[in-house]
Amino acid sequence: MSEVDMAVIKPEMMKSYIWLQTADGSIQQVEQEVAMFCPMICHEVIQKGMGSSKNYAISLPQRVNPAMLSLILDYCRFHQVPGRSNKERKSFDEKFIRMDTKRLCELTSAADSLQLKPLVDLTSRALARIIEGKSPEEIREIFHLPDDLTEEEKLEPLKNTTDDPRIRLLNRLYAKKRKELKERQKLKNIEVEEERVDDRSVDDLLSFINGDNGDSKGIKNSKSKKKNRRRKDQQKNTSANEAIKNHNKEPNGLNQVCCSAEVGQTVWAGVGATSNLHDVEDDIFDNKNELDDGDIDDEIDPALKEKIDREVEDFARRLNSDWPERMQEILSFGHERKPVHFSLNGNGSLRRYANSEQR
Amino acid sequence: MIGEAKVGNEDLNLCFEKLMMVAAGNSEGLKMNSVGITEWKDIPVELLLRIVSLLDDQTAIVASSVCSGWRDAICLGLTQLCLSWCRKNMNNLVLSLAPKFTRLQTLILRQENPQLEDNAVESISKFCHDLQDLDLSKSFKLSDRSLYALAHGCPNLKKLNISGCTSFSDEALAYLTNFCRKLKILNLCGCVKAATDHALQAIGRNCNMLQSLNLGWCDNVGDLGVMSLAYGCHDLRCLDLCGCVRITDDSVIALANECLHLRSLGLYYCRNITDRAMYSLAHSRVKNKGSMWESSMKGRYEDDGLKSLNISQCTALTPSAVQALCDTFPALHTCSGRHSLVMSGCLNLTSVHCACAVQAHRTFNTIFHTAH
Repeated sequence: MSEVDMAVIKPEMMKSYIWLQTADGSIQQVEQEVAMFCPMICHEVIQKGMGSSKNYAISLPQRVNPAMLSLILDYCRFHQVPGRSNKERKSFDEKFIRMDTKRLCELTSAADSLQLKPLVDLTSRALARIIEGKSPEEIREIFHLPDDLTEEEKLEPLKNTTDDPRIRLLNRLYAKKRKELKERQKLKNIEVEEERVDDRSVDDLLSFINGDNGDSKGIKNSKSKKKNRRRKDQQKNTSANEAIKNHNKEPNGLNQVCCSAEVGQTVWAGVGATSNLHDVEDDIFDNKNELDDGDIDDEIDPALKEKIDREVEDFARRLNSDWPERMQEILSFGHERKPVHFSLNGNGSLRRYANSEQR
Repeated sequence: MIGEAKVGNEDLNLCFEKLMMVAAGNSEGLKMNSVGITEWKDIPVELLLRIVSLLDDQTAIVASSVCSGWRDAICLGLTQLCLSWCRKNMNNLVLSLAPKFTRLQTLILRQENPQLEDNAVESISKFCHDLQDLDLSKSFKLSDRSLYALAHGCPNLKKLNISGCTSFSDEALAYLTNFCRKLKILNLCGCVKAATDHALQAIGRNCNMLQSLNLGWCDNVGDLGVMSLAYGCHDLRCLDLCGCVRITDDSVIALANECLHLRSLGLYYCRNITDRAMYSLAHSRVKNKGSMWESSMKGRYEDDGLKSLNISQCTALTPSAVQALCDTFPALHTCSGRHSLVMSGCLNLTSVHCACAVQAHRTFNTIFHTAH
């Protein structure tokens, strides 16, 4: 073909459009090469000859609403250009999926109905990342799912195929544990708020810590101690938790915290986050599955809940007061409350002695 | 899996009445859903399962207790699960999950510290009949009860790993093989009580599709057992007899003659092995090359023949025999890149080399001639 011919034909080809109709009835036209990136549209055009005019617009599946369609077309418009490097595509993808969860779900669904596999993979992975590490309660909140499993079904420790009274007892215990988990979740939510409050005073914390290294461990101890007491009172959990706390303590204790405000913030958040995650995971599965005798001794009664509420309030109050005073209180805190004992580690740092299950 | 999901659609639709999950071509759902598409209401089961497949096992289990819709989808669709990350609750977790995840095909229960008990395996056998791949390695607490349960409940087992389960007896193992005839891969490493000649005879009788067998450190294994195995399991490709000290040349000769697809053989510490065994392996290859020529003519050149051989500590072997073997099987290598002929501890075999190593060795030899 001569160049002139090409020049004549090319603009016409560029102008070729496909007509698409979404479930709500609205019709729009889209550049052909962009629309043909979707296998489903491609199929309609080629196999059925649809989409060439307004009257023969391709009806899109009803999972694709106009907003989603425009997102998908943006995606197609970028990716159908052959000349882009992998790095470019990847960075586009990363920016592209930054949206709220609701839209992400809609987008996944829409992409799936259009059989646009690369986008389905991308959005699925994004959703998987959101779900990972969350508790059922959190997942339900994020995705607005109904809480329609019975207490028993949620934990489903054993199938009640026999009427073994022991099984019924266990089920009752699990239901109790489930409630307890809910309490702790609520407390955790409160605590999350407190953590944010605390962040504002990190500079204070750091300047105080820089002055006195040993006390940093005490601070972390008090925070960890609070979490620890609210956890299930089991020795195995204690040891696991202490291992985590000690592990967090060692690298965090002296060196990193002194370095910079940013490091301090991440460290602080890190202690909280790690403990949180461990809490949730362990609680979920320990709640589900722990059949040890230790459970039966575990009296999660209203008295303890009140105690926990009081502690939470105390802690919130203390966080809002000055640091030196705070430190004093925290240190004396250990002596007031009998269940919790502080003892000194070899290196002079405070160590929470044992868990409060010595009741 | 997709077919199953569609069959269960009626039940799922009842469960999803609030969620209004739309499967392909369900017009009822279409009408109700024309306005206000929200979150998961439109995500079909297949898509949800795809997302769950991207999650780690712990999160997948959590996801199955989020709501009834998710639970049903995951219980219908989950086919692979690994619980090796459990540190102390694996037994209870299995007890609670086995009744739910009935479509499991692959289940990995390898433990760092022994947690699994018979009741959990019995539960698996009761509910997970589709199981094909089961890893119970290092389950020290299990007894024969588990094997009997598996025999009755999981006849489709193709891959079974019970290495380290020292309490199993050979009676129970023989019983299992009578029911699980589709076994292809069996790992009995360290199962001293279970891997006896009696059990191997049963395996040879029943598990004719067996391709891979690990009998490492089972010192009760003798010639009788291995010969029965060879006569029964002609498709055997990988056999590990490391530490089976009672084995003699007769076993290897039987294997050489009967198991023509043998690719990997481990004879570490089999001190009774002599050159006879080596020559028999080489000879059978030469003898059977005629029939293999046909298959290679058809374009199915499988690169048959031994690919990997471990004769460490087999001190009775002489260089000439092993060299003959190495020459017969071009896939056996002593060169550093593809080292597959392992002869540690055989000080008199240092002169044995594969074809690729010969060139390098010649140069080496001229320089360090006096060292030899």
